[in-house]
Amino acid sequence: MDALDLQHPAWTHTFPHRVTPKPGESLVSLLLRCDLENHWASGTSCRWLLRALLPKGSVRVNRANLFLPPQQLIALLAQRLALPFDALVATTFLREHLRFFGTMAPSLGDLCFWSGFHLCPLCIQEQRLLLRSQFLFGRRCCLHHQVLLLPSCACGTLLKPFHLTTTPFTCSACLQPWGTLPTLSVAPEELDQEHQILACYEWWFKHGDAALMKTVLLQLAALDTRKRPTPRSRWSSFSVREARRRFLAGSSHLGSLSGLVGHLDELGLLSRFSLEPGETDLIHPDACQQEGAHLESD
Amino acid sequence: MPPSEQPLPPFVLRRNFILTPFEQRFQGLLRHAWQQRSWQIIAAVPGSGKSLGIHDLVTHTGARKEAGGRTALPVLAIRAPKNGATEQALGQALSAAFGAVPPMPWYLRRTWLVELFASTQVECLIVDDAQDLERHHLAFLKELTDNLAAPPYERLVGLCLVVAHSGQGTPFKEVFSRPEILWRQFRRRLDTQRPICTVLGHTAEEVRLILTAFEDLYRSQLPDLHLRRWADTIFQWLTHPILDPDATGRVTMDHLTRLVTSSLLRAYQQKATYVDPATLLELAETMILKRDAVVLIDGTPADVALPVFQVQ
Repeated sequence: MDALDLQHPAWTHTFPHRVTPKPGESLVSLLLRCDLENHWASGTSCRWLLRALLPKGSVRVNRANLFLPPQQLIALLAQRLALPFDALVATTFLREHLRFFGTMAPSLGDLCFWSGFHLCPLCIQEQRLLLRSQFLFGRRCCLHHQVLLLPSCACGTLLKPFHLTTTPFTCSACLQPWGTLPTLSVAPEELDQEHQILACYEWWFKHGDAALMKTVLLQLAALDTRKRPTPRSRWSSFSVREARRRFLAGSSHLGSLSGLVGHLDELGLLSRFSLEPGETDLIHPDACQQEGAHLESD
Repeated sequence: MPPSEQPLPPFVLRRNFILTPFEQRFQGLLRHAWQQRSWQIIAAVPGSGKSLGIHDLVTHTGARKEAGGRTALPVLAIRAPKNGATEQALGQALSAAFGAVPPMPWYLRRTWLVELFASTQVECLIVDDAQDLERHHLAFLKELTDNLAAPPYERLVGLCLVVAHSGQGTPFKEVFSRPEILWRQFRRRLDTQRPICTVLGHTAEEVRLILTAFEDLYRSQLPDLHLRRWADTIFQWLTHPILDPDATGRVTMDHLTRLVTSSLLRAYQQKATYVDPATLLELAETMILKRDAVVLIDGTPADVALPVFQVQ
């Protein structure tokens, strides 16, 4: 990540201004900062990279591409920023995908769903930052600032990551900077739940794999026959059972981890997956039955 | 095999940049324009070393792209677009100097270039081969620099139009003598004391200095090299009217380098340790008298079957 001088062969292949990912930053955030530094309209660099990959097709920015992008997009961006490939992979969930499925070539919805675009105005105001983890399905608030992640502007317009007629980090309709949007505080219990959801995702990203996920989903299916869980509001728009059913049927076209985390939340079992692997017992078949009995007695 | 019959390692041509007296004069003007943010038209005959001098200057100005977003390009040098290209072509050339830039409509690129010049702290713009610039190119350069000088940027940018010049007449004289306000404005921006300069080539004494530098460069391959003793003779050869059609009475670096390196190569191939005057004379005659000679390329067919390839 050294500075490039004019004689460096990468000078002509890199953007006029280079940006480097901040810790935990998402790809969408990095691309927006890239646009901002280079005085481009919001989404210019993203569209240009996609156009280079799809020279003949019409370029539409698919949000899933920002979450689990094609490797070629990351390779091209690494070239344009003269950064190591791995540094940019860290802004996506490709590495986790590789651990789970043995490939970095994702199909839509694999592993985890993009939750929709939302942002913390204070993160934008302070660092122009959209964290990678805040787009995991089920996330609703910023744990650092303890405010709700906003999906829409104060003018009522749904926020979009990119809009070619506006400058980066502004509302596409009223042009209000995202960093100046009003904030809404979050109740402590909501924050606790948010912590648990994030910890659960992190547990799976750190220790999980496809086989373990399948085992746990099967065990949860057994629990499900005994007691139907109460859907919680944050998961209501997402068919957890459908994702699980598809995963068990062998489909790769699912947001399987998002489904699993959602189901664990509905069953109140998130806390089991914030421990170290040796300390959790849910993955053991016997433990599953015990948990089922425990749930029935509640 | 006796040492004299052992094959020689290939001759290594040194590509080092020599800060010749011409380069010192030329870069001095460029640095003056950069430091004073002045506008100058700088002319020199073809083959003087203008492009090399610009390249050397620009690579030593501290231009850098840092990973954290900061880019500095204090001196931006481009080559003028050719064949009567549009102002968009000049815009493209300016954009390309910054690196990879996405395609964008010209009306956007115009304003974007102003922002980028400001954010990368451009202090001086050098246009090489500026004799190829058209009227609309010059108008765009004026617009660009005017926008930078105005709020919110308030940045003065030096401008050097480097012209390959025959020595006859004044560069851009016809353009600036037009009555339009634009050219009067352009003219007004030129440096007060030295608006249009011609940088001269090398004198006999300067040729001697350069030959000394060549001796040092090639000492490892030709240990007994002693070129400077032929400085006056070489100067006379290279100021021959064929090589100096404008009668400047000066030697260009291109001619001097060609003569010296081809002589060194010839001597090295003959396993000599120095260059003798006969070799120098022979190559000087080739450059002067046989300059326009057409060389016929022929050969004897080898006594083997000719290779035949299948056409796909």
